[in-house]
Amino acid sequence: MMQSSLLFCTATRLLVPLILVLSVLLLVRGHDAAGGGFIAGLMAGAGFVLQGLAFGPDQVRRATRVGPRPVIGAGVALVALSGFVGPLVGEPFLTGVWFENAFIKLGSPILFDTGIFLVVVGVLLVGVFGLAPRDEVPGPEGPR
Amino acid sequence: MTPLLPIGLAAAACLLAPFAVRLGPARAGWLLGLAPLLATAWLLAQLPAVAAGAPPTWVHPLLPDLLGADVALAFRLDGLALFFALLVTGIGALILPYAGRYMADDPHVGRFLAFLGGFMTAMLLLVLSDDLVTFYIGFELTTVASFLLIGFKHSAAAARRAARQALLVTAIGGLALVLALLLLAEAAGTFRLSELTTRRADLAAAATYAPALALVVLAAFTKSAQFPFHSWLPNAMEAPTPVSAYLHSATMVKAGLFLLARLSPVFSGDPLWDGLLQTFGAATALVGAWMSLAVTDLKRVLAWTTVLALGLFTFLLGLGTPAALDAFFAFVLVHALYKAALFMLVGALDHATGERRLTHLHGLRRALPTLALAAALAGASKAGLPPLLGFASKEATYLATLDGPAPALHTALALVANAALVATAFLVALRPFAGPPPPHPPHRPGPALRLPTLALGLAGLLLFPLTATLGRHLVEPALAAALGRPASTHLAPWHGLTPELALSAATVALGWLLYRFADPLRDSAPTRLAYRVLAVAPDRAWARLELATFAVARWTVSVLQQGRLRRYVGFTLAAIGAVLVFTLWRNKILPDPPDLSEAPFYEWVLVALMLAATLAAAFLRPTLRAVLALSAGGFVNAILFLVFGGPDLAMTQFLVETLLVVIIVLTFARIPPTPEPEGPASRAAQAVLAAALGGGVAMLGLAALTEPFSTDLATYFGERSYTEARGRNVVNVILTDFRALDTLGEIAVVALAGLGIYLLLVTRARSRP
Repeated sequence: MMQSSLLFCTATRLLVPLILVLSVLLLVRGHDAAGGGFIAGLMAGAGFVLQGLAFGPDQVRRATRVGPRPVIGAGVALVALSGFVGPLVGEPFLTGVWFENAFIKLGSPILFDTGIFLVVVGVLLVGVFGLAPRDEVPGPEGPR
Repeated sequence: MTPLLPIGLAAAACLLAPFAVRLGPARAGWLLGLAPLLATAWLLAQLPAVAAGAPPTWVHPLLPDLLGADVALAFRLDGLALFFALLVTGIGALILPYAGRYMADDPHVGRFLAFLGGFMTAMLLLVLSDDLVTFYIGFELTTVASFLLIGFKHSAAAARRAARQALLVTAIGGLALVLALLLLAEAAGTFRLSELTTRRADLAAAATYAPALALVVLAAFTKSAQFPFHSWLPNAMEAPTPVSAYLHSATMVKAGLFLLARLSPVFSGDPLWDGLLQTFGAATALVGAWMSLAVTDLKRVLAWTTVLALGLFTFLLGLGTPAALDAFFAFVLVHALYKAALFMLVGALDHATGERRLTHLHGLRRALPTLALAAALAGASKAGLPPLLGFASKEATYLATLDGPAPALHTALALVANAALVATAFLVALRPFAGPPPPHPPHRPGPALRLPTLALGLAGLLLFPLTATLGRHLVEPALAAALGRPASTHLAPWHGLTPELALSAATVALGWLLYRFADPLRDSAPTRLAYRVLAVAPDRAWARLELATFAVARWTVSVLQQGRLRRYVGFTLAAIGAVLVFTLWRNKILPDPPDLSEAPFYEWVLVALMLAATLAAAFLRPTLRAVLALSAGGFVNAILFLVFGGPDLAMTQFLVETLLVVIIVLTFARIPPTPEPEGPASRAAQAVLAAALGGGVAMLGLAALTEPFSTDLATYFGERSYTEARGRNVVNVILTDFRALDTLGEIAVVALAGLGIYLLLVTRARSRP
């Protein structure tokens, strides 16, 4: 990977945490304002891509320790499981169940959206970092 | 308590199996067998309620208003369900201990027991379902479970082939079934089986009646191995013996019969239904009868007698009279008991002597007394000798054929089939134990192999005096469910000196003759020929069909996927373009040019920018610049979304454009550096394609604008978004609540695509040297 400019690297260091926080914000506010799991997932994915452009894909691969497959799996599982909150309280499958008072608003659609978020992030990580080149430096197992 | 309990117990056996084997496989088998034993006890306790016409029911709404009907999690333990559920759990309680011992030396015994538990769960799901969707899921899960079990010894090519054959044949049936069930649900306006079976008149009036009937029959015939789909069943002998015992007696092949019996109230009496069931049932019974006398492997003898029995079952269902169904239930019960026992016996003999050829086994009665007793009991029940339950069921069969529409023909058929059952009963249960003792004393199998076998054999003896009780409490409720009206059973241990008794005597005599001359009959030229035509040829035909399917698949891939990205994209876009242009032309859509006089200045700027970006994308070289230009166009598009008040869309578009540039650039890094040269013809074709697609979409958009814009949906969702789904962002509320089922499907597709990319890119990169 080509060495990135110092300016770009420094800006990335500041920006990536902001982007990730923003993506979570978009996720949780999605039900009432512009946002939602899909957009938030794209946003978080963009953050990881930025990090990868600045510091090389392998650094991101190491940082996202679990790898994309469990993330995708957890996402699908969360989406499907959130549907069973309804049946637990006697409503049909996938019916939204809400708990709301003056301070907090929680509901099964937020779980559903979080599942979408995870799937989108996972698929982006697969797509981008699957295509991205690997370090030329041989790892502990020798050259790939 | 609900009908969910047996399903839950079976599922627990399935899930706990991998942990239970840490106590040792044999002990695990006994322990896990407790789950179906408990389920059996619970089911028996429900007998009075079911007989009184108050079946335990459990319903939970799942998907309201699908195709105008409600899909629910609905389970209902009526007489038919109870009858089959008892077979599944009762035999399962004996199979699990047997399997734990039989497979004790296999490193994957835990997995094996878990699969058996899963098989049991799937069967119970099927028989207890009152909803067509869960019914179908159960039906398919039995297919999957039997695939896993038949192919359990997956290092053997024959096992893999048998498993694949069983999977594909029964999956064809599964596809037929899903279509049939949807047609039935639509015509009846309900997904509930208990309601559907009472709407015979509505269903018969529907145009989809005959196709639904044919599809149900196809599903049942593939599942229950009817001629000409029978060859997967003898091949499934590649499975370990406990699987055969379970698959042939209580599960899998009984699933098809259960389907037929379940839908009997809807279809029985229809000439097409009765004709198909009688004809194919009779043909299957005769094929099974002859082939069971043409093979020497004891397991195969038993497999072919299962084919025989399945034919007879289908035939009886095709007769459809109360007497025929009476005989059907009696025979299903008897068959389950003796068939499981005989398979367990053959497994134990195999274990003890390492031999399964009936021509090589003799004189084992002194060395293996328990097994000899079990064999005598199970064999006598199979042969229909008094005082065993098989006698009562054979009498019932003759009663049904004598009482039926064509007494002479049908009774002759039953006589031949029953005589073959007698002969094979002697071959399997008598011959290995008779004669001079073997040269090498066999190794004695443990109690887990002997006791379940004996228990099933004894059941046939001990239940015989109780035949009338069984008939009243077990068969009559099942009869009522399968007929759609109450009916009384004629099952009794002794009917007196009747024509049926004379026929029974004739059957035994004919069967004894067949047994005496079994060896010359097996080696005779007609039998050899029949074996090639009836057993080998359908199997070969299947193999050829499989190969032909692969050949077609390879050819399709070689035409469509030539390894050139430009072609793939070209095919896809051309298909879309063709559909688009055809639709526009067909509907004569030619919108008026829009009125642009009102457009504000900044919109003109945005359009100009977009045009410039598009032209640049078409003509700039190298490609990287074209990609950047294309992306610029996308960003302008996102701004347009903002201008027209779609912040969610705009955000999505911005992010997608950003990520797409990165992905395209990374893809370029992997494409070989010298692309094929592009001729003017190719450029022209691309221009035509681009014009057709772009022009078509633009026309469609304009046409949509000229139509009066309906705000019904917008109003509907706008009004209900907060009141019903507690969200103010209507777009998100639609995605995560109103249309959440669609999103669930879409997200599953995205996830699968992601895993596919993972396999292609990451796994391949790792395996590369």
